[in-house]
Amino acid sequence: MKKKLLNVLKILIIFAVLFLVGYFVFTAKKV
Amino acid sequence: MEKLKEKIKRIDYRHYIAFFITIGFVLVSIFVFPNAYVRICEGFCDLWASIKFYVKELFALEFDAYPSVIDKSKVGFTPILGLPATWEEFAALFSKYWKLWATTSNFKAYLVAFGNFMFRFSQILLLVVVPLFLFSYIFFLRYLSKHNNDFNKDSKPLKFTKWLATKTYIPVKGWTKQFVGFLKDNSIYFKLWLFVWAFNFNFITIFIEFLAFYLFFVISFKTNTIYMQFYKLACDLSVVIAFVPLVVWVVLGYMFLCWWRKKIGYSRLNHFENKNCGFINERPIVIMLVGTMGKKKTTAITDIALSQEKMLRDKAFDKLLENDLKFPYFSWINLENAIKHAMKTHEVYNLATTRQYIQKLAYFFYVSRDLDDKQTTKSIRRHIKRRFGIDHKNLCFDYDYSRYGLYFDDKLKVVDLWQVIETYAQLYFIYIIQSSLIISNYSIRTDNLLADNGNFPMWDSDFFKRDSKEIDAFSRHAHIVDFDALRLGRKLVEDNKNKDSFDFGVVNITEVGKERKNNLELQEKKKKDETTNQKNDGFNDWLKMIRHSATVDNFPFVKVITDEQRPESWGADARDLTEIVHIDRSGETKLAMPFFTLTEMIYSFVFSKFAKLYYKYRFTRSDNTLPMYMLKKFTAITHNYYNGIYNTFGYCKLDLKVENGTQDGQYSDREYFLMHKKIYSKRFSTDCFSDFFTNKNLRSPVGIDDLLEYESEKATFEELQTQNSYFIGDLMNKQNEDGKERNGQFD
Repeated sequence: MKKKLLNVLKILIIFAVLFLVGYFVFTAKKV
Repeated sequence: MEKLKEKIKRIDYRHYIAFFITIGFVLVSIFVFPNAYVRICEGFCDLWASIKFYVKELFALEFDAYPSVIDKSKVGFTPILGLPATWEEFAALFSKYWKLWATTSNFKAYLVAFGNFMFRFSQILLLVVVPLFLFSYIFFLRYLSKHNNDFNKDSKPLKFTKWLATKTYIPVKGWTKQFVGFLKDNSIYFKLWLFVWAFNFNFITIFIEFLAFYLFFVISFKTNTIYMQFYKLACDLSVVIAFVPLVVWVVLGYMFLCWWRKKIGYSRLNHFENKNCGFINERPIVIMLVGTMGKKKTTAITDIALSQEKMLRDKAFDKLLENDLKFPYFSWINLENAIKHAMKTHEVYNLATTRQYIQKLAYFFYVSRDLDDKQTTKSIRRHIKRRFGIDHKNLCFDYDYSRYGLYFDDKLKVVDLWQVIETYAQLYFIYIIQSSLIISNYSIRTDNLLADNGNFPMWDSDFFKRDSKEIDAFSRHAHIVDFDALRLGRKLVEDNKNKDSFDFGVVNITEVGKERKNNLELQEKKKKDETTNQKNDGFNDWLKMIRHSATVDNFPFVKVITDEQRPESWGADARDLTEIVHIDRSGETKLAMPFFTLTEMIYSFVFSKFAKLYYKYRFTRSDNTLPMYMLKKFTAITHNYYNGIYNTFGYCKLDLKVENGTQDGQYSDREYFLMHKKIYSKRFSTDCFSDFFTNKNLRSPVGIDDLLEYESEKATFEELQTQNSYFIGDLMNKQNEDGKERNGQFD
């Protein structure tokens, strides 16, 4: 159970990083 | 002409294919990437201009040298991310960027764009993927509703698919594989293609421009020119970014991720191995691993032995250099060749014979030097050549001792050259032995590789990167222990030729208590007994004196590693010499390679669903159908990939408690890492004594199915009697005696 939660947390972090990178690229394109 | 035709005919047709591919790439280069030619010309012009500028500035010469590298390219590339051409423009845009980045409206716009993307993504997922998946599932369920016993019969669609694959996929795959093999054998084509594409994508130009700017910058230090280089880099890279489609970038990105995570995985495994080596180095010469069944005792001692073997060779290697530098001008290669020759002729086969060999040569050298007689020296040289195969200008391996000296002062003592040679020879002997340094009472596979070009050989002792398909080709196995060689007293076989053979190495003894037993079990045995037993064989004395035979250059090249379920099973006299390592807990398998979470989750989802479905199918039918064939193929690929990753990068941690052999001190907590690739790659057999039980079982006329079963949940009197148990036997005897007494009373 703990391992599963940890895995979900890892994936959430990866998605959060991708979301943030997307925002940087989006802003750069707008400029 | 005929000969030429014959020659052309003999050329492998794949050369033509590779040649035409090369021509195709060159044509693509000419017609699709004409700017690459302009850029490389600019690059070379910039480099030449920079060299001129560098020389002019360095020697303060007076001639015209303009560093064109600081100028914009004449090719009108659009740089990636629309990078502006000047630093001023960039600075203005940069500040605008961060201002915009921090506005709510921009973030909201991003959320809208993100929402749109997710909407499109969900559309594809809901309208295409989910219905496809559901349809396949329902379609598959149809198969599960029909029962049959058509053992291993292929369905018509499967037969057709197999036929189609035989005609199309399999030949294409086979040809591609052998063509890749051809390209590996003729690497010139692959290198040529790599060069053409590196040229097309301006990578070569980027390298030349870097050199040009480097030469300009180191002499001028004009920092305001740096930005232009980034701009030019962005322009040059825009070609590859625009040309390569997104899908290829995704695949390349995934390949890079795989390479990167494997690199991290290997460095972690090496880190764990270094930690293990640190743990082993801290232990004394004799160690005993203790743990209940299934705690991985034998696995751990095998792992320790493998690391220890590697460390002995590494130590010998380090010490070789240490001794080499004592006489830096000595011709060590001549000595090494002489030892190799002596090993071939079996003149040298252990440390004692190595010492003796060098002492003989030293004797001849000193006799010759002291007599200083040409005729005697000539005779000795002739003798040495005939006897040892050594033929040099002097009797000291061609070393110019009159020029470089015969003594070395290490500030502790002064040592003679021949003493150092003796030490070096022993170390070299330990280093060069190609068979395993492990002597064991069970088999252990070692796969160290010795690379030798005829000069100084180098060992490759990597545990983690061996190709499992090739290990059988270069594997060696541990030497069979002859316990007579470990006995200083009586021997089991008095004229045993191995009885004096041990002088150094790693001795691994599993289940040592069963071999040596403890004082309680040996009560019946006496030292004065006629036959050899554990009390009169001098094994414990050998254990106490072990380092004396194995010490070279003040380092003991020996380790004795044992295991047992309880420390007390081994007699205290020997056990007190050891350090007892208790395996407290064997941890779960973990992965040293990062970023595998997503794959792991997909795998566990797919595999659990497949396993249920598969056995439902196997229960219902026994024919082969196309959906099951495809599903099984896909699951097998996923499963094998997953297992391959775990077998390469999996590890488990052992929690250890270390205590003195006298068992009167404190426990200290330590850890040890068992890496799957190192220890489970055909290293040893966990059932190493299974052959004994196989013979025992083969003698038996009955198996488990033939044994009697209890009639009910309560055993009957007769059933209990068939157990041949001491306990039941005692009860029976007591009952019988009781019955007799009672009968006596009534009598």
